[in-house]
Amino acid sequence: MKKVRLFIVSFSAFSVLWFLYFPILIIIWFSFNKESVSSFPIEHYSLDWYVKLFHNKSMMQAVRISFFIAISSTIAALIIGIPSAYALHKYNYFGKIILLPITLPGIVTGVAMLSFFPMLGIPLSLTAVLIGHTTFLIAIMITQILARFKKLDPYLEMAAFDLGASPLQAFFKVILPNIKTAIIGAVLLSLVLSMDEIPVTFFLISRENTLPIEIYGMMRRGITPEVNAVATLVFLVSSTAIFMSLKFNKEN
Amino acid sequence: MSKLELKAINKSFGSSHIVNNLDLQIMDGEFLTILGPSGCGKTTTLRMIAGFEMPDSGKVLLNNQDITHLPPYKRNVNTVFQNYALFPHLNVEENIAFGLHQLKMSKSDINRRVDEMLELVQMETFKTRKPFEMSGGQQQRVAIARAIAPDPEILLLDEPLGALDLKLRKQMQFELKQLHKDLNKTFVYVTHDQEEALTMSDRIAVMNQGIIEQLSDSQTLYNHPKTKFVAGFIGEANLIPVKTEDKSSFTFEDKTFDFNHEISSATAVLFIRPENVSFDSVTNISLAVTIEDVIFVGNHRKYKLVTASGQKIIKTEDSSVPLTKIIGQSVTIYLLPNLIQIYNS
Repeated sequence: MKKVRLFIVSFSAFSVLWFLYFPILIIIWFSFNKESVSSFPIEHYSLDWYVKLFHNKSMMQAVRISFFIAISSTIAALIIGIPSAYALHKYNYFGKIILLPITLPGIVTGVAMLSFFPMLGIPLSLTAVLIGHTTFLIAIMITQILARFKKLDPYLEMAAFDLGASPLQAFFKVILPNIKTAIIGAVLLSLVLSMDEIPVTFFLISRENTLPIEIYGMMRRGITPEVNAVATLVFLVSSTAIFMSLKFNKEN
Repeated sequence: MSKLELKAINKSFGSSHIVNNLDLQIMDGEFLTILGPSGCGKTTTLRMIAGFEMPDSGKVLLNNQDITHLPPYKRNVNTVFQNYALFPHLNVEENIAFGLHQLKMSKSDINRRVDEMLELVQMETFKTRKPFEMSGGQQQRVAIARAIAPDPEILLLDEPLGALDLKLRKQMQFELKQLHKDLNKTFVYVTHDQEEALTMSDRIAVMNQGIIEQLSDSQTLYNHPKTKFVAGFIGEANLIPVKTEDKSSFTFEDKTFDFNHEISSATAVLFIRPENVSFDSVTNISLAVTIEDVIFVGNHRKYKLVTASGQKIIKTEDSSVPLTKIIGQSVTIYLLPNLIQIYNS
């Protein structure tokens, strides 16, 4: 009886996973197809599409921009997020309002920024995208790091003060090392989220495209196996980052 | 000379008055325990000495210097926390060295001091262990070493043995007492465990509802509790309601006994320890009782006695004394006047 139940549970779990990941596996498979038509059976395997991809100037530019946006918005979110999380942990004011940017649909945030940024004199540009990404990444940072703060023994900070550390020294010598893994996890998650963000970016972008927008543009001109190659690479990078972020968040 | 002085300290959290106009003088080199039930204000008092809480009014003086408003990192006072609060990212050596780094000591001095401390708490072989790789008792030793390492003026201990099992707790009590003797340092110890307090302390301050009910050495505290609360909190006690019409006698079940006391109200409570209730006619204060039950408790036996009016009295006796009484027997008990106290009810 127990075995049957276990079988049913694992069967349904695997079915769901299969349903989620099978399309991705197919894309990875097709990315090695020599032909430009994605159909079975695949007769010749090659890395042609990857070579072509690396020679695609606008695609490479989009990759660079995406990396730039992801890294700088993550850094900005980090600089704002850590002290915010610390303050929220200590004084719990605004409550849950900080979660709003994650729960709001990206379209709402995007439209709101689209009409608000020009008022501030910020034109539609990568700067606008950067600010847009930073706002929702701050929310990610704060929730991830705040969760760790909540688990942190409050006596650790007291012990540091007791042994002569000023609040700043206590933060750098005791608190930071103990929330380090949560920060690394949040950084990896933020990078991934920024790398494949579409709705907010879509409203704020001008001529320079990020990678997801570039891919979206390519799709409109018809699917080429180049898209498969890009998707495969993005999948590889994202899953590595997510895997590592999970690993770091599990620690402690 | 008093090392630390608390002067008219008041502290409230919201509407609850936790510490009420508290005065306390702690002598240099003494082992003082603040003992009381949870919520009595003992931990808050300790925290105000450490600097984690600021009093609403009053003064904290260390070596006659006002430290009331100094933050904890500017006070030469260290704490051993109940849950150890060892830094999980540092090993034993680095934990102990933490306070020494703050003093900007040289590397060689730090190393020497750390080794000294490890030897003191007999943890030399654990130098490179991380806190999570050690048992509770071992962590507590490291916590003590870490707190002593910067050579504080006073060592504060906040229920440091609370999380340990009984056997280890007893062992650590002796070790702490020994440590206090060896270091010749002022220890302020907070606990709710009266046995711990009686075993280790030079003096005990019994705290209840924000005030110190009695401050004295263990023996005085046990034999001559000043208030009803102290009598009931420390050890086992018989608290018997009596009538007190004048200040030279008390009346219990229509029998009046000569006894000088300070009670001016008509009713009061008589206190006597179970071991001081005697079957031998050693005094004229006697009561007729019936033995309700006799319980064997290892090294002593406990008699549950009841008077004609239904007042229950406990008497204990060494188990080495032969048992001659039986359940249901009527006997007379005698109470030695110098072991009796009478309190306001």
